[in-house]
Amino acid sequence: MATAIQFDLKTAFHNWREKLRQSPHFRAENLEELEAHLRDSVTVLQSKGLAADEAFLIGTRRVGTPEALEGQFAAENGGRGWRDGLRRFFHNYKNRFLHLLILAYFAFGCWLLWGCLRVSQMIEPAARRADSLARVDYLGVPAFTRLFWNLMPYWYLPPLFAALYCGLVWTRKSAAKSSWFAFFSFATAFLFLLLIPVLIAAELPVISFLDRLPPRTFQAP
Amino acid sequence: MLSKELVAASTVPLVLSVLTGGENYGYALIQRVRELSGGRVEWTEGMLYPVLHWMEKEQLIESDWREGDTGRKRKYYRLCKKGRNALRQEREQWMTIHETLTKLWQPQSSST
Repeated sequence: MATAIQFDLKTAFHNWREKLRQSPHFRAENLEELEAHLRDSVTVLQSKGLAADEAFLIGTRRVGTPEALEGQFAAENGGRGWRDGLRRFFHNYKNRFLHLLILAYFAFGCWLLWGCLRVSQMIEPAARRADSLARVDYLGVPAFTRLFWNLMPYWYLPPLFAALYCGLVWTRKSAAKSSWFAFFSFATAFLFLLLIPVLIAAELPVISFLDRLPPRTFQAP
Repeated sequence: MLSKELVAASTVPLVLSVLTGGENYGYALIQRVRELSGGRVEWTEGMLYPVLHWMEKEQLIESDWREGDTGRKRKYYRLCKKGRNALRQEREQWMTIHETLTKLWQPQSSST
């Protein structure tokens, strides 16, 4: 025997209203007015002979989908309370704020890489001294390392371009466009691609020095 | 079916015009317009309320919550003085468009 599911109109109205209440864009008065409208609509449809569930379904369709209603009321109300204010603020500024964080991360990454090269520059005189102590001919800094040392004065350029891009995002781009992930991916890829050659360039003088040491250096006395 | 743009443009004059017949609530306003247009002016019903609230903010109409005949609480809207003036202007503009189109679309009289 099939069991008929009883349609509870009161619960249906309650659920419909609760669904709309989740959005910060409806005020209590708006919900009351929309519910009054829906109740009028359902009453009229029922008086024409429709069952409660049919009348409710048609009534809600005529009032509009929650998404469409939200869009319309968003322009009017914005939101309620400090939580919604905060959420709206974060929604509007999320993309820009994240760009700022990624810029800081990118600049810090670039500074770390620059620091690696700077350290290699600082230990170079020590390597030269060690060469003379080990009575090994000093062959100079490897060309690959010299190339990166020569690039060091221009190391500020990538963060500068990133900052200019962030400036564009802050002033021009719509908040709705979440371009932060693309920026994050680009920044990470750039740092990663630079990391390997920079580490090699920084380590080469040390490797080169170790390579030139006579074999006896590492022999036990 | 009328275009969305035309329906949107005519919402304010339609609401103002219906309210000249006396105060009314949202659902009844929609029904009245549907009845007068023979069902050709179709509003997405929930979309009317932001328009009504905007008109209220512009002081074209005013409202208050009251219990209707059925005992159900409803928000009733009525026309303000500024709304009457706005309706007069709307009427002139729509009549100008109407007259222009009527002249353009009437059969050309034969030249003498």
